[in-house]
Amino acid sequence: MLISVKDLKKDFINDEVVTPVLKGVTFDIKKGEFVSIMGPSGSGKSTLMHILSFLDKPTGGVYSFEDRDVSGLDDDELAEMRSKKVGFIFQSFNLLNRSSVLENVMLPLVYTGASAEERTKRAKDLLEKVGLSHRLSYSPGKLSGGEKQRVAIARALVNNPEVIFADEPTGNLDSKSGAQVMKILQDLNDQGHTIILVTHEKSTAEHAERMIRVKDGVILEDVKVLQRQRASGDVLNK
Amino acid sequence: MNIFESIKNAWQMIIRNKVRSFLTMLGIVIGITAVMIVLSVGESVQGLILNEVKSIGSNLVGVLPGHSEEDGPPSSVFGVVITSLKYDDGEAILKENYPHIEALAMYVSGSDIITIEDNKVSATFYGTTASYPDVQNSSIEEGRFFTEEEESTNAKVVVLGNQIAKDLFGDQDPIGQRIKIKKTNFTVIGILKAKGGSLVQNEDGNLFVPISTAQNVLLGINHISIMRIKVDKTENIDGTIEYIKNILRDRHNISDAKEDDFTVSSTAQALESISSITTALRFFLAAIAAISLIVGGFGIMNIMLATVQERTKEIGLRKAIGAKNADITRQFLIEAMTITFISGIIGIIIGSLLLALISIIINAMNYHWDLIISPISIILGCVVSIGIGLMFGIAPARKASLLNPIEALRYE
Repeated sequence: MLISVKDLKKDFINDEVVTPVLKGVTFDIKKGEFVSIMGPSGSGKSTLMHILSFLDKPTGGVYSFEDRDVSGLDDDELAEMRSKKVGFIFQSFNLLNRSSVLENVMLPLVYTGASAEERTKRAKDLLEKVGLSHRLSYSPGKLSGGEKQRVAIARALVNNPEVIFADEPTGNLDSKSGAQVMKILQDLNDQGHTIILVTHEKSTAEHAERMIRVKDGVILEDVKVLQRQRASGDVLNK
Repeated sequence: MNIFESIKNAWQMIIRNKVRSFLTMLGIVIGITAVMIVLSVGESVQGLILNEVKSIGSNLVGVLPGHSEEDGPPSSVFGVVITSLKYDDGEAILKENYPHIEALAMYVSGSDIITIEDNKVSATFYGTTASYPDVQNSSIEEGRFFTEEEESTNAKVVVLGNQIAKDLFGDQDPIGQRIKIKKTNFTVIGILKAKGGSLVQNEDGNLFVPISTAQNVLLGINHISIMRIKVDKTENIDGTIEYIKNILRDRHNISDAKEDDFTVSSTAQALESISSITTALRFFLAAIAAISLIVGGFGIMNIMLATVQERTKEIGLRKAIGAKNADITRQFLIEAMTITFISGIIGIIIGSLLLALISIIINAMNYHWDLIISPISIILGCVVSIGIGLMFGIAPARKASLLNPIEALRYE
């Protein structure tokens, strides 16, 4: 099993006031799944994603990744997991405008110790895959929102992650660019990538094949998406 | 591994905020400039003293009137007139034929405005002995120096320094001409070869008359102001100094060295004391260096804290994609060190230019000054500037590395 959480809990402590955000969630995610975690703001979906993506630690329960208990990892071990096992796509892209598109995509490899040639080759390949090989030396500031998110997707893929976390990836995009991004995610999933999508929009969540609905720190339902949305367009060069 | 990226980031930061960077770097630049000058000027002063010793001769022993306190010079050096030393003292030292004394010269000095027709030049004249050229390593360019007979018979003859001969006579031949010193006519009998500037005395600008003439005719005194003795070999200097002291104590009826009314020291020793003057200058510059570097260091700390703040989101992203705390610390430390290192290089360049300027000015004043840019000062400048970056960059870098990635990513 790729991801397995049992009775996962997270409390936030502020001025000795304990606020439970996750009140014990349990589910498994298999390799190659496309799962959306859906819920309104404050539901705990972001916290859940932070724990699953090694940005945060649970305060209770067990989190196993690739059948290994990762609940008690320290900061450096978590950084190592982020570096090798996960890729991130953010709502606000989080690209560095001072660096070129190519440098942005190579950035995660800086922390894995890959050689310069390896980094360049891998980043160029992925930028070609998302249809941006003509923008290598651009500053991300000069790109459209859709292009920015495609750069971010290339960056998320560059370290060959086990899981891609997409946190409201279409939140800052117009519907056309949003559809393109969802199409890329679906194509990546078709090619075998595990994708976990976090969103508050049902229509976006329905692009996944499985939907985990979260509210007030508990799972409301964990269902297969019956009428799965298929994004159209063909951006991903295969 | 990502050193080059960090250096590039630092460079971009400097370029992006030119004014802010300039102000931040200023403290380090001034500090390193001061370090450069402190170290290099010290070496140049050593060179100056060495050259001085060479030009006067390292085998000279000086006798000054007055007791010297501790290792300092006697008060006569500062212009207090002490009359304890006489012409006969010099004669007495020579009379014993001490084997290591090659020559002895005595001096009195005064100054006057020298006139020939309309030409007026203010100059210092020395009353001295015929042994002067031998003791001072001077040579005659034209004419002759006065004789031992003239030395003791109030002869009204004068030998001119090279520069003053030009100032007074221009293209004319001065030999045989008359000049007036203190309303007395003197005949020019010789001109000395040019020697160049010296800290101790500028021979080229002086006039030399027989010591008896100076004492009796010009100044109306019977003491002398200094005696210089040429010793045959450096290793005999200490023995000669003891010999001179014994003779003088005997003549002055002194039984206790504490009662000495004279001071005997080698020229080399006397010149060494000049370097103590530069020590004060070096302390002053070192203080400037230290203060600027500390102030500069806090400036660096400030700008690094600002940059960490500005780039919170970037730090969050870097951590999210796998940067460890140590990676973030290293990145910001390298950035801080790059800024201080660039400041250091600028300081080294400005320091070198200033040293070149100092050398040009001092050489133009006709003193010997080697342009020394000490390699140690360059190395030290680099090391210190990087060290400042490390010292003052560590706190901001730690702060950056400890940011929570989730909060950092949300930072707007």
